Amino acid sequence: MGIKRFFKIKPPEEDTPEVNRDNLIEQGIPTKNVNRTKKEKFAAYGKFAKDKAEDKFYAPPGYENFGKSNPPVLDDLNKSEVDSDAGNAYMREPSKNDFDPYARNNFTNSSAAADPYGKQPYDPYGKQPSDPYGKQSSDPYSSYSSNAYGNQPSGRSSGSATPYADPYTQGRGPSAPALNAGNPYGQRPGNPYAGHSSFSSSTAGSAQPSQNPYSMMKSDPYSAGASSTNVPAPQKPNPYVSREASRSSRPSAAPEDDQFDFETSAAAPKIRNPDLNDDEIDLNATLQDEGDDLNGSIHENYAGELGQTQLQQPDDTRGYQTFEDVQRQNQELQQQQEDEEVDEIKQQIRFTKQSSVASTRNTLKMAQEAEMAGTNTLGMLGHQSEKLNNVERNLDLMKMQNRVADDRVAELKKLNRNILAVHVSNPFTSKRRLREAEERIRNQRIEDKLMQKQTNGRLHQSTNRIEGALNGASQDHDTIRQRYQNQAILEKAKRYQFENDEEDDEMELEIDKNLDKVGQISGRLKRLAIAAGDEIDAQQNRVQNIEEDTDNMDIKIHLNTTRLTQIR
Amino acid sequence: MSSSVPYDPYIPAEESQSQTKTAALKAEIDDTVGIMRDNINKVAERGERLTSIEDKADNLAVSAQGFKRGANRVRKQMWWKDLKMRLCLVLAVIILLVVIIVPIVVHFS
Repeated sequence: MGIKRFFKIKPPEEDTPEVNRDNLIEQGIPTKNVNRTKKEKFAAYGKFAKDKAEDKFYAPPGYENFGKSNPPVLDDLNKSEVDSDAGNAYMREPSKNDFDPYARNNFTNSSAAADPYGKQPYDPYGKQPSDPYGKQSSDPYSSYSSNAYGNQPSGRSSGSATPYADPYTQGRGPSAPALNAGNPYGQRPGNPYAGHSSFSSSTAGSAQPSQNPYSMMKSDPYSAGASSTNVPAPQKPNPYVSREASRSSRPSAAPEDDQFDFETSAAAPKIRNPDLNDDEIDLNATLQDEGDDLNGSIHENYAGELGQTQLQQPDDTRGYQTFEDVQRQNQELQQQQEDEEVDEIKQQIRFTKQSSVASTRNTLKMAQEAEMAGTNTLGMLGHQSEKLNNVERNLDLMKMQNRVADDRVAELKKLNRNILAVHVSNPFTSKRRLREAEERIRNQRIEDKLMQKQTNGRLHQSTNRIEGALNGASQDHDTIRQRYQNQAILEKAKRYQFENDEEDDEMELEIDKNLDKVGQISGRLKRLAIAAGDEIDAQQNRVQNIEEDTDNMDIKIHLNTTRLTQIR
Repeated sequence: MSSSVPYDPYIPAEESQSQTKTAALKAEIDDTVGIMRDNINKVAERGERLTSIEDKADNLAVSAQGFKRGANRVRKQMWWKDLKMRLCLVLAVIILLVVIIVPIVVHFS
């Protein structure tokens, strides 16, 4: 149009949103309150979830940068944090501090694999000083994957390393490592709790397999019994092997230990064990070379027996052995065996108990992690509920404004008719019409209020629910009650205790307490789960409503747009 | 040497303890696991729904944008119409005035 360009006139520019909002407020149309500063209770969880969420791209090898170069418009809200972190857990380097189970399973470091207690400095319990929960507050899922999954499979799958792997499977395994030259009887008689002391020392930080209690288990009598034939060379000093092989040597040493106790049993293997005392003459080797029969030698040639079996002990001056002597020796042998068996059983009880303590601790820790994860999930649900509320309020606002827009479009359409078709309403019914219009406005206002109330009520409900679950029972422990409890526990535990000492009591107490705590936590977990289920159900409904409303809005707006285009 | 023999006297006792304490625990945990499994299903469903909401919100945004453009277009259109109307009115008034004034001026001059 020439005039347009000539006069340089054009319609006024669009109002800025602020001006527009002011105008709308002047006309009494509800607008969004931008200065709304309502406190969001779960905002921190929202931030947390946002930090955790990361975009995931699927790319063939070589194209990894392609997807990332495109700025991701929408981050995938439905992606779970666990996915990416699990991926990390598999990819991560097995470092000794942050100890990765999956990688560890593959690598066959015999000292670490055979050493559950030695690895403790950098496993769950060792980690506890560095506080898994402190870490968890910033990052529950990563620590979950590195800790919980980290420890559990190491407990299960790397079988030889675990407290669960019982000594019997280890003992039956033919491949007792050559490293553990520690002869159980060579160590044990000198220190009946050698295994135990090595346990404590290995928890102190040394991961040496020789100090490992389970390495002792490996060379224990069961392994000797089952796999004495394929025991590697350093294990030859195993007493059972030597005992069978050197039955004939026993008469020389045994008669001196008339009554059998730890000191003498300590002395006996020392004499017999070539590895422990190098200056001692290698008794077994020669005996195996000769392979002599005891009985035959007794009956046939005492002198020959003396010369053959006690060749290596020239200071032994006893030359004769009666049949009663031999019998007594056999009895003592049996007694010694029995004593050793009792010792073994005791040690096994101890091991079992220790592994029970460890597993209850493990359970407790995992339960706590699960609770933490549940709490976080619920918090995130709370944040999402707030977001949903936000969406709902905006939708309500849209509805109201759309209604106004509807009215305006209809009015415009009415006014935009032919100039000659003058619209004049009936002047006689004007009052009634005014009244009706007021009534309609009031009803609409009430309707809107109701809608808002419902929206807020939903938020309030879900907030209450989540807060109730999050502030779950925090039980207080008073010491007196605890002491009585301790007494009761010990009383109860008497049945499972054999020659209980202080340490044993402590272990029993810890098992019981851990079980109690796990029970409490599981109760709380259940409540968390139920609350989460309710919340999800409620949110499901809300999401459904939002979906329908959005659809309706879309349709209405589309209708208005087409109506507008018809106006010309 | 049978491996299970040394433990025999302790196993029943151990079992009975477990049965009292851990059985309840296990039941509870199983319960919780069931609930959580349900929850996971629900969350998955909700995730689907949220995705569809995302789409719908996109559609809504697009159509709202369309409405805004349409409204703006109509506003400009109406403004022009208004201007034209005003010009017409002004012209008509001027013509009327001219029609009135010119004869008078001619008459008196």
